[in-house]
Amino acid sequence: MEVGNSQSIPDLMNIRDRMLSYRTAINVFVLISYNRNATRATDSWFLQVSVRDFYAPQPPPGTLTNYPACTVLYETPKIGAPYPRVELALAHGTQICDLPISHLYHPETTPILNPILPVSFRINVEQIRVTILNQRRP
Amino acid sequence: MKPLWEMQQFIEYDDILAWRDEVGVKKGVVYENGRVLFNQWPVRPHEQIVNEFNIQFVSQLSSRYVGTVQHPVFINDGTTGIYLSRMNLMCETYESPVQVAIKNPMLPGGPNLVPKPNSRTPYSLSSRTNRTANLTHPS
Repeated sequence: MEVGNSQSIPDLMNIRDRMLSYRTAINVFVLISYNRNATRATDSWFLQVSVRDFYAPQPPPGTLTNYPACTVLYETPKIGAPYPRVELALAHGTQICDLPISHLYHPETTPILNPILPVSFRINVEQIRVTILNQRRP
Repeated sequence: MKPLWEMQQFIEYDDILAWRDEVGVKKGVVYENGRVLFNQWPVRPHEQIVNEFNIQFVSQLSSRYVGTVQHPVFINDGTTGIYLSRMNLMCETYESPVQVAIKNPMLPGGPNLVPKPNSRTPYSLSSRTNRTANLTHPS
């Protein structure tokens, strides 16, 4: 998980691309960004969940470190502005992101535990927005 | 800082120390491979977001296995391995690899870190964890 501190979202995207490239063994990248603006009313935020392209072919020598392109499973909806405002609650249907547990274990199979692992990890995106709303500096 | 970095071949480590003392910067200045960097400290709601995410993860995937032989199913490595020098600067008693090496020159890697007299590049910094010289005043 990358939580940006004084980093722009494009910078964080570049980090995401490198982290999910063929040179790493990272499967999932959760990007959360809080954009502090002139007033709290205009503060915005962004959350994106991306996973490795597990089925991309092997790259030839010299391939750039942003290969393969990742797969975005979820990102906060864009309504007009590029990024939603912190003060606006997410619409129903966009408040959670279910991340399949198998993505955490690939290329291994998900272990059989007792009690059994849930099928997915449910990220409560709306709760993260509320955390930003309540915990940001005045 | 880029204009300054472009002049790194003309700037000595001692120049940075002198500048730091002249302007009164007590901590947060890092000299790295001839470049000068300023540390940044996370502010709210950085850690609060991390905490909320961890609560969600632990409550769904980890806590159910507490007390079983399968515990821990997941381990939170936090900031392990991420730019140790910068993270450690949050601690007032932090000593840089260079400071430690000067005090303990026989430690592994120590001799390479001790300043060499009349050397344009005062430190031979090779590994990821010790390539940064922290200019924080020792307390």
